[in-house]
Amino acid sequence: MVLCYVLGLIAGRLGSDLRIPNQLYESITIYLLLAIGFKGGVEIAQTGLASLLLPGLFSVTLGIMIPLYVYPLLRRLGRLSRADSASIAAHYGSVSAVTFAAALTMLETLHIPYNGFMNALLALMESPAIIVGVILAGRAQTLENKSETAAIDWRFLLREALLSKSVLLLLGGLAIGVLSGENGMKATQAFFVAPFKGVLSLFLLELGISTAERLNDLRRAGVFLTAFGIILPIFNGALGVGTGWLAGLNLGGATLLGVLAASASYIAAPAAMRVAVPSANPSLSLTAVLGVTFPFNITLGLPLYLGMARWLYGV
Amino acid sequence: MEKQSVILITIIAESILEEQLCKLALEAGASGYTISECSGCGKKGIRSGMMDMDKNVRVEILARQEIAEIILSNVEQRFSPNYALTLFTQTVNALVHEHSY
Repeated sequence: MVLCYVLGLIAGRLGSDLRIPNQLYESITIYLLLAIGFKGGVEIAQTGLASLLLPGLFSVTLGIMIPLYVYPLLRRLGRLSRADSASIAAHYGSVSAVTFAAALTMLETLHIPYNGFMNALLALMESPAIIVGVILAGRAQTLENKSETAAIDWRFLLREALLSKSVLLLLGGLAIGVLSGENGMKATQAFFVAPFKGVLSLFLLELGISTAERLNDLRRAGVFLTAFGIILPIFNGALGVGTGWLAGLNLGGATLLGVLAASASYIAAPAAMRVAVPSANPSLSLTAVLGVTFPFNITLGLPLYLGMARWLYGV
Repeated sequence: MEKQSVILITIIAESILEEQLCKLALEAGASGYTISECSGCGKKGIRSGMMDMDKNVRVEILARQEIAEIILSNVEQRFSPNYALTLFTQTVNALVHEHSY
């Protein structure tokens, strides 16, 4: 799987004409999100919704907290503008479904069980950070032009937060999974579960190519943002694993919460922040997320967060 | 069939602006618009069209001079400072069938 990503990276760096067609790329995104949601839903049908309550609360809190401490960090240490800091903070508070999918595959390969409802947490953690990011940016705007009060388009924001493609597919998939249960799983297993890893590999191939394109921007992003893109996920990952442990998740579950906290969004957050905070420079955040954090997480981060969980659980 | 001289506005912009651009055009009084996906390269880098963030749309609007001016100034004001945007106009002859612009 990681090798596919590396292949994409090499192809992109060498200037190969290899590209996954746009429509297929989008179809794969839909497939992955729906499959993750559906699988989570089937698990919830078995364990019941109540088991989700505490971990859900903890993970939403995590999603809100992360941008709140990342923002001042970027302002003071990185000397970034208010808009850029707010935007990047939102990216890092939100989550990456593909990093999560890669973590699921890692756990399954190692035969480490994880709480089934973790897939639902992925959906829950997608939006809170984006909303916090927009509020931070709105506040920044008010601070900069004292006469004007910031105009936040709440209707757009809520629609983006609740009805964006990724949230809708995850939540929709969850609902379908809950309703159809074990029987539904049996009927669709051949499509939603068996080919998942292969499809994910194809997606990572394309992401490798996209990352290779971003690497040129890395120089412009500078040393600070590069270091930030590696150190922050490690810190967030540790925080996520610890939170998972407190919330009573099992070893696999805590690892996954670590991965969620450490990952940064490159689908939902960029689009939402581009519209909500137009003065933020999108290439800064995307370069940090796709050029630094994503490759770090997929190669070194995942085993690292698993290692943290193992240490904490004494396994 | 009659011909009418109208302004063809072409806006090439980040695709996330599509909805707002269309709304703006209709609010200014345009009778419609045409959207197509496109990709290219400009001062703000290559827009390869692969990821959501990298897509461009081409919005074409036919409108009378006075409506065209409103659209242009509104687009300039709202989007020019922060977004990758290409904007140009041409005077064209539109075939008018049942309605005029």
